[in-house]
Amino acid sequence: MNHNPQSSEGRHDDDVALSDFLASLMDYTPTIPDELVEHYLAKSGFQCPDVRLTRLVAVATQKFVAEVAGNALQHCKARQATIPKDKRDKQQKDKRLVLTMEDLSKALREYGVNVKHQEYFADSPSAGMDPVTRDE
Amino acid sequence: MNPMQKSINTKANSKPPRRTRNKKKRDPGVDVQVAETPSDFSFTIAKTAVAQICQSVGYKRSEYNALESLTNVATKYLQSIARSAATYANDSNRTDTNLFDLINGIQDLCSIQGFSGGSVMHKSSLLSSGALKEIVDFVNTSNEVPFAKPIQHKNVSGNPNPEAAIDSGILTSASQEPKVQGFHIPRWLPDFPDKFLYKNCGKVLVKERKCGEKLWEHSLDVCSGNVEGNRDILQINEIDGKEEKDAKMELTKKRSIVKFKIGEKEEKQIKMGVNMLNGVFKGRKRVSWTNNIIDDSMSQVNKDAKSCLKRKTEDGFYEDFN
Repeated sequence: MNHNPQSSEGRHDDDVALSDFLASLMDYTPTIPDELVEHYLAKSGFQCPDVRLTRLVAVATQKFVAEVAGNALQHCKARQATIPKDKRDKQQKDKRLVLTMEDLSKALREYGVNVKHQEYFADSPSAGMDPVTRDE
Repeated sequence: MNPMQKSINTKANSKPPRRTRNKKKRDPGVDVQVAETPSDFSFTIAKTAVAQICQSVGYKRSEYNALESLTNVATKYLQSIARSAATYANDSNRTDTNLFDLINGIQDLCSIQGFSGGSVMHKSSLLSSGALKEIVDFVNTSNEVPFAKPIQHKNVSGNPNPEAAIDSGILTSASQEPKVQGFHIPRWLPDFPDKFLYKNCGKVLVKERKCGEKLWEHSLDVCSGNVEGNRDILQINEIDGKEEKDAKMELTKKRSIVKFKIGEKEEKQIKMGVNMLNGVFKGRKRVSWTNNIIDDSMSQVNKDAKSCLKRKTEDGFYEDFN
């Protein structure tokens, strides 16, 4: 805690700014719906009747997801930039931005989440084997 | 064979393929629409929200697995913020979480990437937290994207289909009634179950017992819930079991003196090796042991202790005390 008399003014400003922000949350509708947030909050023992706090949690989560997605998007764009031009024209049609597991795991690694995904799933034990041996 | 029957048979035979065709048509639609469990339902909503956020960032499409795992991470993130905040509240002996707990929780989760003022996290003022400022900036700069569809509030809590709501009618009816909770009851305790669940429980049990005794709770019914009456019953029960038959449940005017006897046998003096008239037992208070086995074992223990003492005195440890 800061007990300096000089900083009391600054803190007062913070106080006002924060209460303004919380008041503005009443009008702001986060992408994550309140009901969903309340469900998860109740699930983890969070009890508070104040809608503004629920919204704050929603906004914090939304910010996190947006950051991760933005990071993954940068990875995606960087990957596409490395492809030489002549090939890029070929891919121009499906140059649509797609959220892939590869980009997502790279982006999440920066946030301390280790996502390991399988390269592929084999449909049957014989999948991927040499066709000659499969016949036998 | 009757020609009519034949035609029926052919009809019957021709039916099965049609059915299968219908099934094939319906199946994919059913798979997409219905969420089987409550957690499934909330997860689907979360997935939609996350997909919307991704779209707002600039993505056009997404791999199915990628979206699913991002949703998983997002819900875990939300829950860990909530859990962290709730822990902070509980640590300071509160059940309700307030803004400060929440800011602490947000700071905890933001500390992985770091934020301005993160080095003095628990020393500086919470209201000027850098993590919170980042959120404020985010709200101010980002576009507002409301959720795609309105959600019915009841469904979120668990029952997406009406049949399940009927099954759990007890719970919903209990929650719909105005609460008559006393102030002394903590709010986090669940509501009392409906009256019909426990009121008639006693009727199922056998009322009359072998010797004409009544169950204690039935004798309470007679007294019409009078507290003083209850007290009387308690006293009567303690003094004499036969008085229970008295319908009025009043105290008998003349009460016999209550005597307590511990053990049926005659009091025995224990041969404990210690002279009972000296020292500890000088006041002539005697302890009776009805159980001989204990008696034997005690004397055995006593002997052991005695021999132990002897040995020690022989070694010279305790000579000074003697």
